[in-house]
Amino acid sequence: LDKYSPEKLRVIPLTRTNLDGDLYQRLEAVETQINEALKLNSVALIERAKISDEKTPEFVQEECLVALIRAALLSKADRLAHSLIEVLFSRCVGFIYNHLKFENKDRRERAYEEVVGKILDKILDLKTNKDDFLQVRFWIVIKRLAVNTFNKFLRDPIENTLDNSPEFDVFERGYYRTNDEPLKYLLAKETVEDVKRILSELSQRHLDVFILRYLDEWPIESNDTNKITLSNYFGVTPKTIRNWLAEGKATLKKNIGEKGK
Amino acid sequence: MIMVKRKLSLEDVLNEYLATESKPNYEALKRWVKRFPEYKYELADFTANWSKAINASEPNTADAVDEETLMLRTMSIVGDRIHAMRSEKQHVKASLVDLTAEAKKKGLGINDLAKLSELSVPIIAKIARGFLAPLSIPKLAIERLAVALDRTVEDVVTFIQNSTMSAQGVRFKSQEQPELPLEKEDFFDAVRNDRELSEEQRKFWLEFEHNE
Repeated sequence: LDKYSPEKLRVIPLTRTNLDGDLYQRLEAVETQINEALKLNSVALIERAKISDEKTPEFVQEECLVALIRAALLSKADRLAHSLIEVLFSRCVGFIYNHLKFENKDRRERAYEEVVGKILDKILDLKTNKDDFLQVRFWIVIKRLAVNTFNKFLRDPIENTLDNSPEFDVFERGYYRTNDEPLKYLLAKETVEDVKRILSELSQRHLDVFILRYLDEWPIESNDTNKITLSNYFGVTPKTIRNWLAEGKATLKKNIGEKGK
Repeated sequence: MIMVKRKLSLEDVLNEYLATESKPNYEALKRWVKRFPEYKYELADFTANWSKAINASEPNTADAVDEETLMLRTMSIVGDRIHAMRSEKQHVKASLVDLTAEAKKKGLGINDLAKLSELSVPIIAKIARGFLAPLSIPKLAIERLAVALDRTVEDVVTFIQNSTMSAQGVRFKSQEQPELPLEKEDFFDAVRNDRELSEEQRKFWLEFEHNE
């Protein structure tokens, strides 16, 4: 396949350190897989990499594939690297795409391509150790990139025409003081998808503030200025946050009525 | 174990955050903000993003692209990227003239460099001062130095080939500068005579003696 056979490849040790300052270590199973892979010729290696059943002893983990791809690229064995990258992406294409929950097909595909590009940025950058964590916890990195890209496309004003509601004051003190239990019920039960749809039609921001407040229980404000609150996260006053919540509640009440009570 | 001191990047912190916490929640966020106050807003932002991503409504599957099409598109991107990587002119960095100074720029001391390349401090010092015969140094040692210094293998090879024996940076106890050896030392002789390498490390490097 290439003039370099796997036994000529050298897998470089990880040099990035974890939060405690220790060098990252590949899992023992991954190291074993690397050693076994380096004994195979290119064709046999690719055939083995294609085994998709995780339960078989011949299965090659994604972390191992990244290490081998890097080694192949460093030896300029590009065809081998290309084949291994194909195997790697065949395993994660669905995972990435499913994390990018956009109705708009074009938007979803552009976000998908951006994630692919970011993964390749790490794997193909042979001058740095940016890929090290991919060789330790592959799926964590993919998840992080998917989460960040999803939100980037969600926030982009060109991408998102929904997020344009004016910040008019509809704060109703009496309304705000009502018990939030019905909302918790709505957000926790089978109607949660309806709640998300209704709020996202009002604005993405209304949906975001509702989720953070009622599902993740972020405080609206705090006397402790160092504490993360909805107010300082969104960069608006606590009153504005309450307005958004009140608007959301009013919209929900209008659309769902007394169902949650 | 030698601790390699460097500023933790946001990416490192977020990777560990995601690896540690099973789902986004405010209590976890508070713990991580306490541990990494310098990334307070970034952690909050990521937690909110994570929550939003989980809670976003599932799109209509009828419009979804099939995996085969996605793979074709993916491999087209991969092909372009590898081609671009090989054809692009290498970004020209200033040539590597001082190994230890270069390491220092990366926040690494000579001890760190020795640790990262699994060599000893005296051997790194010999490489830095041009005391070792260039052709005797194993490719793996050069690759490890290149990764640690964020340089290309070619940069390190060029440095080693061009380095002349120098007493620069050596502290002399006597008034006179010591005489430098007439011949460069073989890497494997240096390994055999080194007192700081562990037996395991010595054995590891000596295996390259007849395989290079």
